[in-house]
Amino acid sequence: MHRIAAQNSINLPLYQIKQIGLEGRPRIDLKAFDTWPPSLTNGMPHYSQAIFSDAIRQLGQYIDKLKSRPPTGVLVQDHHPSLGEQLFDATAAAKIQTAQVAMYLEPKWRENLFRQLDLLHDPDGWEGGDLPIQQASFATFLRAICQIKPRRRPGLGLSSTGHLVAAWVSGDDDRLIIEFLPADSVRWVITRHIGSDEERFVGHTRAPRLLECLTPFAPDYWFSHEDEARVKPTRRTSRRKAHPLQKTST
Amino acid sequence: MQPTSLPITIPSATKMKKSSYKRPPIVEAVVGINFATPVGADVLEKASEKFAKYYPQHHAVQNVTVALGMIDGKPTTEPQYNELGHRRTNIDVTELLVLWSSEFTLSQLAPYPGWDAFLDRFARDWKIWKRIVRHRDITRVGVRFINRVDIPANDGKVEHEKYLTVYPKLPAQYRPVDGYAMQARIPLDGGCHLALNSAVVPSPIIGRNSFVLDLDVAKDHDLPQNDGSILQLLNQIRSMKNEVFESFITNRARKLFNNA
Amino acid sequence: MRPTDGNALSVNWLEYFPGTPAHQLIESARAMGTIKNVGKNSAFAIGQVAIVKDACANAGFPVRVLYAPSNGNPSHSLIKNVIEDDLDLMATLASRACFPVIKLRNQIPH
Repeated sequence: MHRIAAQNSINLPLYQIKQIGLEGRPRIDLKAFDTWPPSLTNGMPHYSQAIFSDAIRQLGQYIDKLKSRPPTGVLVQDHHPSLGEQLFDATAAAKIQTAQVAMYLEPKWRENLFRQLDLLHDPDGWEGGDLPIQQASFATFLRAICQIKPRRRPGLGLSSTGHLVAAWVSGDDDRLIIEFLPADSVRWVITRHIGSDEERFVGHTRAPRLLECLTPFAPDYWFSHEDEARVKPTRRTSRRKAHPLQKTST
Repeated sequence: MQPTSLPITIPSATKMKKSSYKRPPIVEAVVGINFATPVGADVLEKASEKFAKYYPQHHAVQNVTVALGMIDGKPTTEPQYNELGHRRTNIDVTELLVLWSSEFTLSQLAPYPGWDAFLDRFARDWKIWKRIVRHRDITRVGVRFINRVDIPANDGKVEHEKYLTVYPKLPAQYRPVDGYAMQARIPLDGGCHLALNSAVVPSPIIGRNSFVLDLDVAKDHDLPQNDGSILQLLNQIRSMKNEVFESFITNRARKLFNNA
Repeated sequence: MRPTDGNALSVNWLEYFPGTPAHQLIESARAMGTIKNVGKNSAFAIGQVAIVKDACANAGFPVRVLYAPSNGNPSHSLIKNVIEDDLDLMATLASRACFPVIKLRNQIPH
């Protein structure tokens, strides 16, 4: 019998031995998993196979002794959380996600991010039926931010479906807005004013390609501070670096 | 040996050097102390409440052991063990405290503040714990550091052998590998042992492949029972862990931790 | 916007209420609070119907603005044909049609 940590579903610990009967000949596949905190197991498959013989069970117990205990990946009793608890749990999950990349974030950046997340999830003014921040969306945000490394913090918003939206504003109300969707998907729109004209550019790409897609629009115009060398993208610049994206203008 | 009276101070000689890396690859650091005699649920709850000032967020948690069986071809379950505990965190969810009847666990998520700060927090919390729970014989002292090394990828591939010294050794015709996971138990000096877990994990950083080095160094016999000696042992274990970690990485990896 | 909004953006008609602009704003916010959860950190954007319609039409998203009073919110109106998921339209509304953004904080009587 193995000690099982129970959550909403049953997670079987450490090593499970699977005996495969293949053309009548038994094989043993050794699969190792799940010694990590839960945050490291995102996306990793769980292997759970029955143990069919005493010999294999003993082997499993021997290997089981090698395992490390889960550090703090403990489990929460089931109860009906209040709205405040639900929102706190959502922001707590986002903060734990942030810990995975905290070594790449400036401390002040991270502190302000947490403050913004808390404000977005204030129970006062929360619209019923809205979803709090979705981990899949936040994961895309973190991956993108760690690559872009913007010096200026964006304004943050939350869609009703729990997708994080980041907005940078520069100059005469020029805006870069990025919506972070699950599975590394991002949508973005640039609005900029050239004289009395307004131009808008819209794109949909994957997070690893985001910086490259924004490059023709001189993204440092939004990502760097005013005292840094920051050049507003000109119409000529954008034409020279044409990019196969939908362009709308007024 | 009789336990020393409170308060606990950390002798200056045991203060360790700060981490020398600008961006240490530590995802989580844990200190765990196990006891021979379980603490009763009432006392455990009282102890938990004493930590509310430092860890205002509280979740009741439980470990459930279930026996799975088959009767007449139908699966059955029978709860056999149900342990209640308390999990507390600070507002930022970077500092965690988990209290079980037989275990006191302190955890720090990234960003890692350095060993001195972490040990100071342990000393503070251990003092609070002892004030409520009083002395109990200790059966295990452990320090666990979960590190993640994010290696730049080239077309999705990394030469992890140039950054790590611990990985599965395979015949040349079976390289490159798509992933691996390994575990080892290694005796160390002073009656300690290391449980090493290492694996490829999904990387949270674009353009990198990530490798976890999970080092759990513990001692479960001939343990000190007074607080000062426990702190010294923790420092010794941490030094051992550092030695092991440094032997598992190369200078290329060290450059990553300083430049990132 | 939410999928349940039926491609319409819920707004309030400021001039429905008499008095100074500040008073109109506070009454509108209070009326909106009868159908939505208006918290102390809620922000309100003010737009002019002609500019909203013009900006959206020029951007390729013609909209209609309708007076649609409801119980408890007599100044309620709708901007119809607003596609919930369209980032470009949302950006157009944000940059050209709706300004300024005001937080009323403790000024809304509850």
